[in-house]
Amino acid sequence: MLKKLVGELSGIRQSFKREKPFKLKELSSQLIEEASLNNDYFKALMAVIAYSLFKLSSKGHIRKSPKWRPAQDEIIAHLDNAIALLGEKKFNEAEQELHNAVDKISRIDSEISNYAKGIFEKAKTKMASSAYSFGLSLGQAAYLTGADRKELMNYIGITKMHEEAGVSIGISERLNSLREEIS
Amino acid sequence: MKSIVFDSSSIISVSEKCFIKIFERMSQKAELAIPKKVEFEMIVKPYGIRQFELNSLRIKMALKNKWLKSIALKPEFFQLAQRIKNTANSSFIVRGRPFVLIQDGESETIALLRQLDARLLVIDERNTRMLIEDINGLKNYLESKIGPIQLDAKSINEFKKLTEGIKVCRSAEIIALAFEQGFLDEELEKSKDSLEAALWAVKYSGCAVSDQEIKDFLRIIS
Repeated sequence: MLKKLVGELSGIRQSFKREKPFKLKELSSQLIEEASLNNDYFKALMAVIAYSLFKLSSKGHIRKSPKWRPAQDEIIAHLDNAIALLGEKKFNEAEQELHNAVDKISRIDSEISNYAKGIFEKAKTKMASSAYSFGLSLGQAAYLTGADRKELMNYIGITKMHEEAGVSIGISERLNSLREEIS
Repeated sequence: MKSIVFDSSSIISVSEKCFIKIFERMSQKAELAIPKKVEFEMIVKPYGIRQFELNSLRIKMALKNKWLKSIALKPEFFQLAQRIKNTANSSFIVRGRPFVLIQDGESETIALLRQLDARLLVIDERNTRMLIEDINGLKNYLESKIGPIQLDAKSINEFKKLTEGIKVCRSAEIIALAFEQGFLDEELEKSKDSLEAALWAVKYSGCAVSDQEIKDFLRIIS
């Protein structure tokens, strides 16, 4: 289990260092699925980081910035530390290193990005919507990823997810129940 | 006066699109209640996040004006909430592990409904709604997403007993009823276009309503 986790985090580190954004996206999808099924907060954090790094590395104007390379090195250093700490079973310290990587992601994003809303916040919402699609409740998906519930609802609202669950009770019956209560 | 119990998802969907005054009109005909946990989720937690403050303030106003009432669970109903959550979250087994389906906000909402002896729950959240109405439908839906699910018959039977007789509606029905009864007359012209726009607005705010259901609303209400 630990070996797998270390391997997955190393995968994020390698894909980020080699600038393979779509591999990062793929990893984020795998990680959020596993996190959702096992209610695994640590993996959810890894998924959000992988998705944030995918977004950062796929933006040309960010990669061209002179601030990019030093920031990339710093993020990789935090990931290296987290991998080493995980190997020593120091989970809390490893998680702290991941949060340090998140701080760096947020800083570089706010310095270079054109958007007021941060990549990490958007990544939380995106991963939460994936968790919701894997069957988690709105609240659980938001809790697992740290996403804001309202933001998540807005995101899900513009997807086709609500077409998929089917209709258990017709709207006439629901409306009648409501009418009875306020008559 | 009867009580109707809301969870956070349905209130957020309505207030997000500036329809919060519907609650003023509805509260003249029924007590609209939320548990303390839901108040925390809607007001305390998002407060200070610039992007979400406006909506929190709208809901805060609705509470201050007593259109919505935040009610504390009595100890025995707090225990019931824990039982509801534990039972729901041990009903589905995925890859050998219990699958978390609901959280405290949802279970406390159901417990409050029992405390108030109410029968109507307003909730946009998919899992809780389908657990109450159609457990097999939820199982089939989730299996299409995550693979085989084993059911824990004991937990399911207990959950069914705990939620027996509960009727569920969503923010979409609240909007449709408000339109039908003229609660929105000051804000919207009473036309098919207005109803359609309002329903799409709550759908885009996260209400679990399908395109087909919106068409059905237009057919039934207009």
